Amino acid sequence: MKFGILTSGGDCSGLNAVIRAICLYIEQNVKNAEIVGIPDGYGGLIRGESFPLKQEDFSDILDRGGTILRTSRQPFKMMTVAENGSSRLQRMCENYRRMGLDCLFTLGGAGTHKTAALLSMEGCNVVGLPKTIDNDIYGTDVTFGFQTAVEVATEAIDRIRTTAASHGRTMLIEIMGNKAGWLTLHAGIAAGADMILIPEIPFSVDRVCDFVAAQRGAGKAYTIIAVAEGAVLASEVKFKKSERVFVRTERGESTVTQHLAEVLQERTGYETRSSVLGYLQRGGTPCAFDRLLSSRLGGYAAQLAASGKFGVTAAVAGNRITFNALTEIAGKYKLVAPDGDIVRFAKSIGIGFGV
Amino acid sequence: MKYSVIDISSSSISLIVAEADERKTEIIFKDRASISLLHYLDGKTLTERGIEKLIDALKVMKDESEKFGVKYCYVISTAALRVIENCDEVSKIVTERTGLPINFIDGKTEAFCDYIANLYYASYEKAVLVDLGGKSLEICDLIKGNKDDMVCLDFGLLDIHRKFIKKIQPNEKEAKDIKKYANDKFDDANLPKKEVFSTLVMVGATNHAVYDIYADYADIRSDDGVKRIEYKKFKKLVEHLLGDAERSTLILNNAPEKLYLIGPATIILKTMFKRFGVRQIVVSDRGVKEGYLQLVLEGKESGMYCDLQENTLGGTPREATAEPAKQKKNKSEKKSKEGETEKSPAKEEAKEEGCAEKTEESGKKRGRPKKQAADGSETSSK
Repeated sequence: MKFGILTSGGDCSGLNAVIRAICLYIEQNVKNAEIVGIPDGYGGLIRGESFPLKQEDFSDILDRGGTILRTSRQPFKMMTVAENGSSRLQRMCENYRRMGLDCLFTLGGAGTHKTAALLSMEGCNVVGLPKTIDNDIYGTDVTFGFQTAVEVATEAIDRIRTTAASHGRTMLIEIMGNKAGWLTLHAGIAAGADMILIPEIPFSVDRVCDFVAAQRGAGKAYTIIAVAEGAVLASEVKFKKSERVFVRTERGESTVTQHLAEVLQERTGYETRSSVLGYLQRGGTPCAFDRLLSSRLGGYAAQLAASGKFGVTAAVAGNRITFNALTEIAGKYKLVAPDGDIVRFAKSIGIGFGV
Repeated sequence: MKYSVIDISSSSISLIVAEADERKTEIIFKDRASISLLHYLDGKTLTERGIEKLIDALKVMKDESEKFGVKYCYVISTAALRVIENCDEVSKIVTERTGLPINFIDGKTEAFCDYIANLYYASYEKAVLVDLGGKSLEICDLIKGNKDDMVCLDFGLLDIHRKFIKKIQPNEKEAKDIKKYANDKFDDANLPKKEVFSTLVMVGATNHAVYDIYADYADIRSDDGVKRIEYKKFKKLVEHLLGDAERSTLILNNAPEKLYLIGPATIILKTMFKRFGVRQIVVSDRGVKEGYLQLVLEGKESGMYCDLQENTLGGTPREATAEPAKQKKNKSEKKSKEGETEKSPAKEEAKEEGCAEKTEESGKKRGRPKKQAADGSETSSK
C-alpha cells in the first residue's frame, strides 16, 4: 500500500508526533508499504508534489514543534473554482491517482476536514486527524495541539499576573480562538483569571466595567481578564465578521481587546493594559499530554487505513480513541455551550463572563 | 398529553414531539441528527462505535422529549436496523442503555404510515407518494389509499449504490444502468406507466435533502411555503451531479450525511418523473413518524414505548407480536377496507379545507397507551 501524509492549516504542537506514529505503525504492521510526505498541505497535492518519508525522517521528531512536511492554508471555498481549465479539487484527485496513493492522511482543523470530506466524496481514500489549538473540531472531545497551547497561555497569564499585582493594573490577555473559546476558557480557569470573554458568550462593556469596579471595591488589587480574539460585544452580535472589522476600524481599534482596554481604563480609572499572546501559542515542543495523544491518534489512524476504513477521522470520545465519519463532521464546529458544565463551574467560583 | 416518536433511518435519526388532545395532534418540536450508520458497519454488522453513536443520539432525543414533558416516547426503525446482522443485539443494548425499546416496522406499515400522514396531498391531482429509503422504496397511490395498493420494493438507495456505483458518485453509464434496473423493478411490481400520476409527493429525510440540493443548485426559494421541484431544472441537477466538479461541494454544503444516497435518489426520481409522466414533485414535511403516531393514537399500532414520566416500559414487544402483528395487520387492513366510507369524509374534508390537521381529527384516543378519564385521572388502556 502507498500512503500519503499532509498537514494543512495553521501549525500546532503535536503534528510531527502524529506523523511519526503513522509512519511507525505502518512500518511495523503493513508489509511492502510506501509512505510519502506531501509538502505545504493541500498546496502540494494540488501541484502533485511528494517525497518519500524514510525512517531517518520521522524517527526523531516526537518532541519537535511545527511540521516537517510544512503547511499552508487553502480555503475550502476555492477548491471547486475552475482555474486554467480545472479546479483545485480535480487536480488533487488527479494527483492522488497519479501518485498511486491508496490512502491519504490529512492532519488539520475544521477547514482541512471539510476539504478531506470533499476528496473522500470524489473517491479518494482519506483518513483525517484532528489538529487545532482551538479544540473546535466536531465529534472529538479533544484535539492534539490544544493542551500545549493551554499550557503556554496559562503560563503567560501567570507571568502577566505578577506585573498586574505589582502595579495594581487590570490586564487583558488576548488568546487565540476566533470561533471557539475553548483555549481562553481552559487557560483562563487554569490561570485563575477573574473574567473570561469568549465568542460563544457575547459580553457587555457595562457589565465588564461593573465587574472590575465591584472587585476593586471589594479590595482586589488587580484584575486579570482572558479575552478570546473572537470575543464579541453583545451590541455587535448581529454584525458579520467583515462588518465588525469595519466598525472597529472606524473607532480606530484593531481588536475587541484594544477597545475594551481603552473603555475600561476610561470608565473605571484603573490603569489597564492588554497583551496579545499570538503565535507563541502555536509553536514549540508539545507537552507530554499532546505527545501521548498525537501518538495514539496517529497509530489509530494508520490502523484504520491499514484495515481499509476510509472517509473517517480519528477522534477522542470519553477517553477512548475512536473515529467519526468525515461527512458527519464536515462543516461543523464544536463550540463552548454557554450553559454547559465548565461555564457553570467557572461562574460558580465567581469568574465573570461579562453578561 | 405529549408524545414523541424517534425514527432511526440509515442516514439520520429524527424526532417529533407532539401534543395530542381530543381535537387535534400538533407537532411542537422536531429535531434531526445526521448519523450515517453506513459508516459504522463492518460488513453487515453495526460496530461498537456505531452503537455508541446511535445511543448518544437517542439519549439526546430522549432528553429533549423529557424537556418538553413527553409522557410516551416511541422509537421506530424501518429497514435501516432490521437488515443488520446484529439487529437483536443492538436493540437489546440500546434498550439497556437508553431505556428506549425499538419498534421495527415492516415496509408496508412504513408506506401506510407515510400515507396516513400525507392524506392532505390526496387533494392534488393524481398524486403518488414516494419514500426513498436507504434499504427500501415505498410507493403509494394517494387516490386508492389502501394498504394493499401500497408498494414496498425490496431495494433501497444504498443497495443501488452498492450494486452499481464503483466510486462514490455515479457516472453516466452507471446512471443508465440504475435507470434500467429501477424500471425493471417497477415493471415487476406492476407499477403503471405513462400519465398515471401528475404529482409525486416526496416524503422522508433523503427526499428533503434532494430538495435542499435542488433549491441550492437552482437558487429557488419557495414563496408559498410549498416545496416544488420542476422537471427541467431537476434534469439539469441530475446532469450536474453526474460529473461537474462542484457536485461534491453542493452535497457537502446541504446534506453530507446523504453522500451515498443523493446520486441514486436523483436518478430514481428522474426515472419516476418520466415513467409516470409526473408534472411536478412536491415535498412533504410529514412522514413515517407522524403517520406512526397517528396510528398509535387510533389504536392501529401498539408498539413498545417508554413512559418517560414513570420511567417504565409499556406496549407489546416485537418478538411477541411477530405473528399477532400479522393478524393485527390483516385486521387493520380489513378495518381499512371496511372503514373506507368511514374514512372518506375525513379525506374529503381534508381535500376541501387543505388542512393536514383535519385528517388527524380522526385520531381518537382509543389506542393511546393511557387515556384521560373524565375526572382527570389517568387510566391505562394497555
